[in-house]
Amino acid sequence: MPNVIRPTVIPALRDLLRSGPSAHDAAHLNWATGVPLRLGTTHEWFNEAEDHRTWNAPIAVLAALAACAVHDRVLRRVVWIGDRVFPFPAFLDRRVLVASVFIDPPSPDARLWAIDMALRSQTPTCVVADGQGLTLAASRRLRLAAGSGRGLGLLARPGAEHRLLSAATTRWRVEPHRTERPGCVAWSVTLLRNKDLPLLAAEPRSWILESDDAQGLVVVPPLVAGGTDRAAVRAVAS
Amino acid sequence: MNLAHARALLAGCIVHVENEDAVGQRTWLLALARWAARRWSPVVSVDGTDGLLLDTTGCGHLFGGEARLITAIERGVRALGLTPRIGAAGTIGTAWAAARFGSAQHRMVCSGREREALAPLPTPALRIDPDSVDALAEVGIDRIGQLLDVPRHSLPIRYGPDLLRRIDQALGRLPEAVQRTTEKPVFLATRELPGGTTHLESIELVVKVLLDQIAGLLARQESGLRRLDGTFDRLGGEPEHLSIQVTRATRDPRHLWSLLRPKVERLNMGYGLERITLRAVVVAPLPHRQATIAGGDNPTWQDDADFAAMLDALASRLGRTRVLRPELVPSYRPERSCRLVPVDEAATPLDPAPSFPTDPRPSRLLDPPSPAETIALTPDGPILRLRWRGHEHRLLCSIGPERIAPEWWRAREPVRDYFRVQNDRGRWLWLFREVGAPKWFVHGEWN
Repeated sequence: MPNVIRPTVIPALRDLLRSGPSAHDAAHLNWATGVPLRLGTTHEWFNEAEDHRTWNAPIAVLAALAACAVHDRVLRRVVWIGDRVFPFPAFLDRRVLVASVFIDPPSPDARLWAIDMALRSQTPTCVVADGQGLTLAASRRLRLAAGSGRGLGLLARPGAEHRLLSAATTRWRVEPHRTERPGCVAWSVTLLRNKDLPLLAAEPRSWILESDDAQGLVVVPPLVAGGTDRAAVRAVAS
Repeated sequence: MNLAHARALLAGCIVHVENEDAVGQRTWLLALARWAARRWSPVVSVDGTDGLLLDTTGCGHLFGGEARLITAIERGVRALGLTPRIGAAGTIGTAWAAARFGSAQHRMVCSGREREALAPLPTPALRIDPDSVDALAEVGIDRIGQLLDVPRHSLPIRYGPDLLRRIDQALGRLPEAVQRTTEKPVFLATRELPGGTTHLESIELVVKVLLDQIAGLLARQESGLRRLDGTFDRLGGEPEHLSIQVTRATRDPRHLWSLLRPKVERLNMGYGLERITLRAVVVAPLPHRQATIAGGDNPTWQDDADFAAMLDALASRLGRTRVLRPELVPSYRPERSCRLVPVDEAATPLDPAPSFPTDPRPSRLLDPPSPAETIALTPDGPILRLRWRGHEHRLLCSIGPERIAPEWWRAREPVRDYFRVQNDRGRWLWLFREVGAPKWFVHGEWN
């Protein structure tokens, strides 16, 4: 007698298929620095306010990361949570613009809930959120939420909060950078922590990124003999 | 005839007064239209509250001629217990006038003899508004024949263009076709709760059952709902109304229940609910899809459905005005070049389609622009220093100007010259000055 899959078995099979290794277990977002950002977890981005009073999220770098994810088809949607991280839509790459949704929660509690909700989404989603004032418990909650979803959490936080404990996988600092190339917008990006791969003293931890207006991405400037931007390969002593 | 008049005529009889049931009448008329469409002509339209229009073109020979067709229609309608008034003509206007104002019980008007048939009829037979009828009566015109003798060019000036249009339609000078009445399916489910109840679990159970019914109705039509309205009738009180909107058409009762549940829990039940009605108000096509063993079909489609469900949950809790999507607007002014609209709002078709600006735009736009002071060596020379928000910025680089003028219909707004400037810490700002006025503003930055 041939094997027959009974209707009662189908839901069990379906659960089995769904409980298998998820796509994000081995998935990473590879971007300009070469340090992969693991999907299904959260990453924090700090930047200082110039006058130490008003804080503006590092929107350009986060938008470039989102563009990288959408261009590489790693993620399909981008959700911006909190008006501090809302980019000017004309700045965004067209594909990112079409994939974007802006969420403006009215309070910090609602913001935390919205980030949690977006990170749990089963759609591959890049969640760029205002992470100001997150406690350790809140960051753990978001890390767990990201683990149950299929997205990537990018949390922008003020530089002063980098001393607070957090469950994020990587932590980065972004600062504006002066280049001698006229009209070139550049940032200095420093990796502060990487839980997946403990940093070695010899590894590079700091990069200079330049905006590529044509693609809406950030790139590490190429090494030119005698050039001035040698930070791309310069390891900064920890 | 008013009620008092009827009572006077029927003195000694018991008069039963029944309220007008517009919905019931409409339903009945639609049923009659369906019946007529199966028997006499495929193109049937409901005319007002008490009439039907049939396009019998090409149908007469099936019944042995138009006269026999009309006789058959009259006989069929009488068999239903109704007394019909039937008119037949080459134009809708003349047939309408013959049926409602003609002298005989039914009347046929041959093509080309419309003017002759209409002449003795009163002016309301032209389907014109009562104000025009009164205005014509004031000058002594109460028959269509009198009206047709008046010079055409004088009519629109005194009585508006509608009068001439109706005359031309009735005489066949302007085309007019019978528009087939189509019935839209109603996605409605209701349940009575005899005696009323305030028991939340019972109410939740009933709502779930109603959602299942709505989902079944939608599945039969291969449709999903975009908006669901709920009416909760309370004992001795005004009904409570709820509404949910979804980003993407759905007929998943579990998803709908997840959106409806918080609202049902906050419902003011008063002394109890006696009836619950759910109705899918906005419906969109949602074709059936083949499911696979892993659930869902096309992964992209499933992802979109999951994402839409997540947005619905966010909009349900935060409000639909807080879950937005960006939309480009064809305007050169930066503050008007984009807008954020609720995600459940349909995209606006734009003409011309907006294009991305070729010049770089900042990652963050300040709205409104923030005033600033600048120092330059010469009046139109490069800016050396910027004072903004109480801080001095030494500028190393300045690129510009990029001149942006307002749209021609906003000519009163000043023209702006935009500059990209870099301070000594590498921070890039987007400045503009208003042409003709020494005012500077910071409008954005690359951060």
